[in-house]
Amino acid sequence: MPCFEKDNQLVERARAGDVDAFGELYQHTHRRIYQYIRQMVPTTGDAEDLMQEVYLRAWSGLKQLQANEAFWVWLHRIARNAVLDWRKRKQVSTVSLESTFTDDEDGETEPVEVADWSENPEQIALSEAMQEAVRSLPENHREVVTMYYLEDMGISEVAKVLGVPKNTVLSRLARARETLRRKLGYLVDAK
Amino acid sequence: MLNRWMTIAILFAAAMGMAFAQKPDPAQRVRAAYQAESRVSLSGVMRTTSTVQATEISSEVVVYRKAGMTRYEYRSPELRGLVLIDKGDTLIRLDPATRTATVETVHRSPATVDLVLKNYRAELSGQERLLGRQTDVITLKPQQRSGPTRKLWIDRATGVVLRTEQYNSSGKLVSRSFYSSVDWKASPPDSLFTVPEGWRQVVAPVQTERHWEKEDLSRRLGFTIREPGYVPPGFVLDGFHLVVRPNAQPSAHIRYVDGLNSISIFEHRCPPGRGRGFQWGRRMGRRGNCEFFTSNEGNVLVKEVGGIRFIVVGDLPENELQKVIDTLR
Amino acid sequence: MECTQIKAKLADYSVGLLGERENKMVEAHLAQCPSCAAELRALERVDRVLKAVEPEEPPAHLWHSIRARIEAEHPRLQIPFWQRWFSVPRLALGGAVAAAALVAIAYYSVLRSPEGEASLHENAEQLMHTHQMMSWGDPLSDKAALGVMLASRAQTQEVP
Repeated sequence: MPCFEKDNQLVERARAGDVDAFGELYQHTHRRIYQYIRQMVPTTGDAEDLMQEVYLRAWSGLKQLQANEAFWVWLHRIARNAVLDWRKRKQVSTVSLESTFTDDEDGETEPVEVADWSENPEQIALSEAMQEAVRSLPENHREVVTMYYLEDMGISEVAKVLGVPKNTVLSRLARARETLRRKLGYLVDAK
Repeated sequence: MLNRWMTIAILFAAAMGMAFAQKPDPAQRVRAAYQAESRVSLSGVMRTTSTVQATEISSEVVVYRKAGMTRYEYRSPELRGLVLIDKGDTLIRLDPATRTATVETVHRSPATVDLVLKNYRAELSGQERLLGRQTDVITLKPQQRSGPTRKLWIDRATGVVLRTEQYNSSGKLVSRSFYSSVDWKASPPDSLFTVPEGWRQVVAPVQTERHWEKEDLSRRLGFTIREPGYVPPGFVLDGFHLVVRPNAQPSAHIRYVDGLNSISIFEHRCPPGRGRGFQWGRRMGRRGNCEFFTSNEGNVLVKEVGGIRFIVVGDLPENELQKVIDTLR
Repeated sequence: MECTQIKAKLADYSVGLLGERENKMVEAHLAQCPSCAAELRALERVDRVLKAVEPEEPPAHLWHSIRARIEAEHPRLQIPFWQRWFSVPRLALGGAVAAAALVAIAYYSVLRSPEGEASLHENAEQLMHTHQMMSWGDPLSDKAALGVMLASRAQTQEVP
């Protein structure tokens, strides 16, 4: 969890033009923001570009940040909006498809995924199937799964970022679990 | 008249013949040196200087040789009485502080003197007298554009290398060893080549010598080992080995040799904390992810792709290493 | 309650969405229905597997790119250098980063990423040791010198 009190001081300094203070805010937040962006766009190259855009927007928009508003939530909203804008620009469908990956810009094929032999074959199958299954979730479910599991956010935080009630977040999480359970089938069945 | 010219011609040819007879064949001297390693018995004192991590370390070394075994006693205070006993197939390390002998199986390299002479040009750089003996100074220079150079002072009579100088591919001297005295009549006792009585004997935890089949090693490590699509000309595959280090991921070690030089490719799973999320798309990104280190002993190039870390080590220019690592994906 | 009805509520139950009354009903059913209990365990397993997924590490060079663009695009917003001297400790990132894939750096000046950087350096050290050790058996190797190199490296490593 980010340390909000310390963040407030950093925000004040960053607002006054202190790039180093902004850099510390970056340090506190960049891992989680990256998880979010990474799950919402196809390639790491896109994710890196978007990361830059998000933090630049944050830097120029600091003056708009309300005194009582948590930096983290505000930043995450910027990230979300940046993703939506990016999608509009690229005209990428917001309905996720259960399709295979496209080649990256250079036209090279993706490196071959490696199997995890250290665990038993069932674990391998489960882990790979889980990744496939999450990728194929509808946007709003995948979003919540990313924020809750990969970014380690609490339900209230997720709700604030999305601007929806907590129960909506819980409901999406529940639906996501159902979908994943259905897709994974026997792999998650109890022994 | 014809007789006189013929006589001159014959004398000239004879003189040339004699001159050539006295000039040694550099390749033949190198072979003699290689064979002398396992044949000659002696005892002597050497002085060795190496550059390790930008620091020069010198030591006097007392050497005993017999029947293919060699004992090196390091007299420098920094090395704290270290003794290494090379028995050909095993290497014993004696640590007097703890009275412990660590035994490690020596890696049997497929590199032979033939491979050396194939990839390195042996040149006679001169003839010098060392310790009162005639030596031929042979320089081994890489046939390829770049690589290390080795200079050997080879005793004419026995083939023993009395002095060695090693230069890295940038031309920098990285080590130098020479005998300051030799007792050619010595016959060291067998006890010098065994673990002293009462000492604790341990087997080195890292047995790097074992050759693995690629599939078995892949299974052991839990990922498919990649072989490079490119190695610089002259290099041949030595084999696949397993490297187990404390507090680190176990690693595959693919080694290539060209006789004097070697390239190591290490592959292991990325350490924890470097996960892949749900992995929408799998490339690392346009910019890739390579890091580069350099030292006197060699260059190191590191890359991570798909959760595997590749580390290429070798005394080669950066762009050659880059070509190797680019084919690992 | 029918199993189909219960199963439809299990996901909501597992995230705590159900009210008190419904919770009790589901729990009562679960106590005597192995099939529904197994279904709940499957859902919980989904949760556990998701929790075990490791996040992807962001590239280390990003901050430098961002900072460079801030300084290029918004110079007037920066505080003067003489004010910065009195600010709290600076960011612990160091080193210049080339935009290209390859970063050439001296042996002891390592690109610092948020975590695990020292271990990468140690890694390289240990593997260099292994790399050198293997050349012991190569033809005409200078074993006296090699012994020194191996000994001085090995001294810094404690093998358990």
